Amino acid sequence: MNDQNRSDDANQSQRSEAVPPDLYAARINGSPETFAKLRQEFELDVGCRGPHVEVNPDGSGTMLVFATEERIRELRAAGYRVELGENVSEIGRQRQKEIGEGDRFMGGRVKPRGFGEKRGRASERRSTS
Amino acid sequence: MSFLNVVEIESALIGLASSYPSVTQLITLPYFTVEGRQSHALRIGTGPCRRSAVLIISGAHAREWGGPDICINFAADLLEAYSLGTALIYGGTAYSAAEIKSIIERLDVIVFPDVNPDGRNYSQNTYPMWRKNRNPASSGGQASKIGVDPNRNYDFLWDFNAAFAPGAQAFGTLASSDPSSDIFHGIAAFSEAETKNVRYLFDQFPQISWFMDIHSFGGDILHSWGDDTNQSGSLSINFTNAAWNGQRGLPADAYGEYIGACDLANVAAAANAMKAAIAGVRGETYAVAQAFFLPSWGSPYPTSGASDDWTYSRFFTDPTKRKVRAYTLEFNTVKTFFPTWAEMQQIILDVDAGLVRFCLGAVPRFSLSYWLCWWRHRLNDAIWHRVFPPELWGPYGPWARIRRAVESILFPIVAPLLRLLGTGARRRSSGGSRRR
Ligand SMILES: [Zn+2]
Repeated sequence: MNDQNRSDDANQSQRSEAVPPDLYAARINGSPETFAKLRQEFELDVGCRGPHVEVNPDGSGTMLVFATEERIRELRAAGYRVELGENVSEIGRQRQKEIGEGDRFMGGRVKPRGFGEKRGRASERRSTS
Repeated sequence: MSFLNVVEIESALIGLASSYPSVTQLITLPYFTVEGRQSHALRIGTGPCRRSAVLIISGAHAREWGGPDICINFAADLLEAYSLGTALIYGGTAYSAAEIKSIIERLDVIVFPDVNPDGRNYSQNTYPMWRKNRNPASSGGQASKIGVDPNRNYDFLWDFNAAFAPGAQAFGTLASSDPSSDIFHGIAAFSEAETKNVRYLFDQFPQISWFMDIHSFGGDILHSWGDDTNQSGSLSINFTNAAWNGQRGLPADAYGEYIGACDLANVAAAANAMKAAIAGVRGETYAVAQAFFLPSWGSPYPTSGASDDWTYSRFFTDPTKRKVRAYTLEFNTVKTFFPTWAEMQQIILDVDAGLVRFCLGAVPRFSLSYWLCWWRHRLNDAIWHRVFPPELWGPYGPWARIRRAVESILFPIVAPLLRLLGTGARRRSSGGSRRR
């Protein structure tokens, strides 16, 4: 792909910029049959690969999905028991404050270090010197 | 300390390559993203011998922050421990200096930390819950239709409408041809720069035989297959057999994806070893499961066009390619895409401990060609090159001339024979697992 095409695509991306609505954690209570019916009726954001269902003491399950307020209203109108949880988009925005600014590695001039502990020959050498 | 931004991920790879030049190779990936970003990967390994390789990728899904941070920390840890000659310790899981040495000297470890930098940039700066890439080609100018899911864009049963049963679509995880869907699979398999870059690594490094795709969340280690139940009974029932089109993706029916019984035991064993290493750090319990089932409740979750299935399938479509053990890891047992950085640091220790174990499992136990190559280089270094002057053994000396003359005579005869033998051996080994 040449630079002209790349910038055209990027411009198209800019032109159609409109941020999607916030998503909320929605916890839906039901049986395997409820969830099978639910997935046939609605396309839901269930996370990366698929939903994780927590099994409750009464034998029912609680499925976590991510949905807009409008979609949650639709789910409730269709008869599903939905608990409105946290605004995950807002949590994400808060977490954006914990993203690096600039370039801590200065284009590769600063060597990255890992969090694992390196212990053994080198540290012994250091401690005896 | 904080999550890495997209610029820092590439800078970190460049920094590692320039800090450890004798043990690394910086790989500039050829396909630019639609926003003009160029990605890098890093090959870690020393020695001249052709070896087995592990490929670790992450960042395919934009909102799953932390994957690239896991990869960069992992690479930095391996390289630092190797260069210092130290053990590498993650909480209660420890690896000796000899184990680290065996990974670096007997294996190639390739990390591609940020498969989808455009998506990550959008998630980190604009809309945190963004999942796909930022390709607007199918959007018709509508923001809600931007993006392709890279992990539905690989060439494995990509045409899900033809390959899968209509009922499989209802599970909601298969793929979608609707651009507004979060699992939109693109206009063709490998239509996206992100997946083309992954394929490029497999083409450039045919020795890759282990693969890990890091995602979040859930705390799961998923192994083959992801499109249907596993079966070891009939090799003819498989994804290449068009007679089974329209029947895949449902549990408890006639179709199951073929995996040799030995292969299945091996892939599960490696996943369980990784699980144990993760648990050893601070007690986090990851679940090992077949990707089709996830650790789910009453329902399977079939996928089409996913990285792990494409990777494992390559050997079955072309037996001259290596068989690759393929996994997806969903890090974070807490159900959120956005842990705090303090939480993420703990997760990095967990997963990196698992990745070192994963690589140790990939270190070849015994390989004749590796050992012959190893001895040849040791003999060259220790005796031949020390006793005799370079005028004798160097590239312009008489020894090189003799070698070139002999090679020019033997190569046309020996090379086709070796190729035939190699293909035959692979066919025999796959035939062995078929009979099981
Ligand atoms: Zn993912």
